[in-house]
Amino acid sequence: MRSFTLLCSSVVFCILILDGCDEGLNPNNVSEPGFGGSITFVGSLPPADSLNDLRIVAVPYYPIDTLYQTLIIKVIEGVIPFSADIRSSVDSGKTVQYEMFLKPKIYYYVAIVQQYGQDVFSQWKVVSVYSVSPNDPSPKSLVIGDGKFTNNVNFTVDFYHLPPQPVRIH
Amino acid sequence: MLLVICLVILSVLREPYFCKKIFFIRKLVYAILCLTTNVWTQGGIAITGKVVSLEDGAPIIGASVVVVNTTIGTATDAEGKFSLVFVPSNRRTISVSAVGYKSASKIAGQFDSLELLFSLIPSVIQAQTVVVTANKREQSLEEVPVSMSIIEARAFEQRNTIALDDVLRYVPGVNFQQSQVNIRASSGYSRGVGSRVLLLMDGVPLLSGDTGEITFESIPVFQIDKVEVVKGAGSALYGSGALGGVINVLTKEVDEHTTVWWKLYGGVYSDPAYDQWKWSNNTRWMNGQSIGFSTRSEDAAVAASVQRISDDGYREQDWRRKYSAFLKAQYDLSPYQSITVTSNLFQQYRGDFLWWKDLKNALRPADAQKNITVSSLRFNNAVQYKHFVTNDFYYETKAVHFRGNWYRDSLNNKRMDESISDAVVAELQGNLSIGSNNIFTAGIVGNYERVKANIFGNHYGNGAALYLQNEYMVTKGFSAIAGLRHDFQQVIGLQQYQQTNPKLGVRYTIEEGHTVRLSAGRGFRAPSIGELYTSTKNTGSVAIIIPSINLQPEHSEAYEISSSNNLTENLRLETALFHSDYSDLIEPNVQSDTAVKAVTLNFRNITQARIRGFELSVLTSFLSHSVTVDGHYNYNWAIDTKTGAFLRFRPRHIASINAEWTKKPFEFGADYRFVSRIEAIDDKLVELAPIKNGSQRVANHIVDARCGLNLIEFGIPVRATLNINNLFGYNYNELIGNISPPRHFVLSFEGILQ
Repeated sequence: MRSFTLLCSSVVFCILILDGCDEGLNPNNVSEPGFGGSITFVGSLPPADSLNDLRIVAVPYYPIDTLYQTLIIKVIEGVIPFSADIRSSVDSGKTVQYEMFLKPKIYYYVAIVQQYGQDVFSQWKVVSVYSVSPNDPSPKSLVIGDGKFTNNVNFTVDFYHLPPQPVRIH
Repeated sequence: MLLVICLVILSVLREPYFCKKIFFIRKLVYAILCLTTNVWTQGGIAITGKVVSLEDGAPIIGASVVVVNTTIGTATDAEGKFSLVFVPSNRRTISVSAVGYKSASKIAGQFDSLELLFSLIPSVIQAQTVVVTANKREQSLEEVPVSMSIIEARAFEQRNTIALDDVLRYVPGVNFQQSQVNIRASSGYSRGVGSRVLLLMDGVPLLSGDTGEITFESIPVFQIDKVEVVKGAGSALYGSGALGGVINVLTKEVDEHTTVWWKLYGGVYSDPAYDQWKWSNNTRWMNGQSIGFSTRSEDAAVAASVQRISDDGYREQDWRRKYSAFLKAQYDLSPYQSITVTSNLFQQYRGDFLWWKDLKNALRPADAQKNITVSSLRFNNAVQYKHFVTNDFYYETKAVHFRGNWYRDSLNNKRMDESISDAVVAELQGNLSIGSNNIFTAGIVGNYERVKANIFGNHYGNGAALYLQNEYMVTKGFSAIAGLRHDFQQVIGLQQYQQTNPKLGVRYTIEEGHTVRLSAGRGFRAPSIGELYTSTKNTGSVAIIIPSINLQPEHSEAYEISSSNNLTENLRLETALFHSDYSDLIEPNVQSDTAVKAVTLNFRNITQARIRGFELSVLTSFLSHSVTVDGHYNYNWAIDTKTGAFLRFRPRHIASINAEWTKKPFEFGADYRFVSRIEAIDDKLVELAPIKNGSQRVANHIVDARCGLNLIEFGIPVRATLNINNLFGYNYNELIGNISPPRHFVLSFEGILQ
């Protein structure tokens, strides 16, 4: 009986040890949902004092018919994900690569927004939109699946030729 | 330095001249303290004896021997022998307990000098273990009406434990979010502010005055006799903080022989599992040295130790250097009275690693955290006085001062955050037995906190509490307990809190080894000064933290049914079903603040939660107790009752298996620990910080192995142990953005000189 119990315990122990032999976290297998691509800056750059922040945002609804103040609150509440500040990448004629990770969801409006003044709650404008085609500025939906990373979400930023603004600016 | 001080004190105490002086002082103190007590005379008897194993007659080393209802006690030496002097003629019950054996007691005879032989029965079962935390008095584990787990000192020695939390991870129902403890899913992750588990050292609280957090690394592991973990709400006895449970660290008693012990260890981390993770070409080492001594004269005892630890760290900027010193001095005013002074000093200097850069750079910190260091100096001093007035009544007073001082600096020595805090707690407790079946425990507690910090501001807090508890033994096997505690807490300038927390418990022992328990209790936690007043921009993220002065206390109601059954002589089954309701849980919250025009984070009472679950433990032994195998499983169903979502940072399943095989002089052991993948995390933290790849997490499978060689059997008082932790090099994280240590090897040597 003792030997049997010992044997059973050993088997259970070995099974559990073998169960622990999967690799765990793996940098080659980053399955975090998100999207990435390139950002190309064309044309002249704005003065430094009107480039107070520059981020990619992904809005999970559309149309957007409200004030920036409301949108900022939704950003703060986590409804609208945003990237890190990308101002350090800004250089005329330069193309940079980016990655952004966010929850799997349909994002109906993906854009790059610029804070041009000191008021973080109102002084924003859209400088580039993920659109249907270069000739059609209509926003294109971006479907982020669970464990999926979408490539080739590319932007072209021209600070002096802005796309249609979806938000009332006051 | 402490060692020198202790030696000087002891040598002074032994000088005849000073003995007279000390005797005079003792009499004076006596007169003040013992106006209503019996006068101690130098009468009494001497009792010597030996403690052996009934199985093979081998001496049992380190067994605890105490005279019941007195302060007299000692531990057996390398030959299993003990001696007790001046045992009062009216208190002759001698109790002996040792790890791995059933406890025993004998009533000594009426002779002037006695020699006793205790033959203890081997047992894997801890049912006879004497515990103190459940009801603030010594009693058998079998008698307490709540679930408790005990960690004996042997577990720390076997695993070469450096910090207390390393061993707590193997307690059923306990898991960690890095350094933040969680009992039965009561806690999530609160960024180091506030703890829903109360940490005690020798019965006095050790929560920092500013953040109310536990700093496990400041506990002197090398002085631990055992750790008691009480699960469920414990505020009816312990007040604020005991919302999810209580961890009581009990330090070693000083035995009668002058003893010097030492320990050296060195270890190395394996290379990272992936080339992308490699950040240094240097081997990452760790090492530690500690030395201590203890000695006892007729009525005085001193134990002291110092320790140094150095760890290069397996991650960039995760190095640390630690120094600690511990002193415990006990003076017996009489066989019935003792004063114990405990001091513990801890100093640490380390790099600051909050979270990784990303999963591809998992061993490098995020750029915003580069070149930041953290320094801390913490010490606590405690005084305890215990007096057995009669066979039926004793009281004790305790006072502790806990100082915490820490600061964060950037590379150019720019001071970022700094805090100096003091917490003082004083308590008077009495225990009265009426007849053989009625025990009353009552006490009064006062506390005071002071914080001076650039991150919290300058604030003061205080509080007081009264508690009363009655245990009634209906029959030998059936007892009931009822208790009530009223707390008053305030931070100066803010709203005052008053709380009344009851508890009820029933214990029914059907027959020896088969016990059923029912318990219910209420818990609360007053918000810490850190939660109320934290204000900083140094968060490593886009958010700033702002004060939350309107916080209210958290509450819990906990219910439990548990049982323990000795199915055979070598097989024990322990089960527990628990249900807890939590309200007003304090959680970090992101909000907009138009005044400062920024993303802000503060603390709010936002969560209502219900946690249900069960625990199952099987303890076995084979081959004449040379092999022991323990298995534990804990299931948690932790739901936010407002949203129906699973609570953040809580695992659903926790399991562990521990196996030991002793074939003298060798010892082999292995542990396996499983924690299921954390189901919900703080998405806002991941997004706002931002923690890149912060949602990447896996279930934890950790295997530790060890082998030891105990040369004491050959007359050489040295023990060598090789530990291989995370044997299979599993890459896991307990906390988001923080990968846990890879495989590492540690070789340690320790010895005792008597």
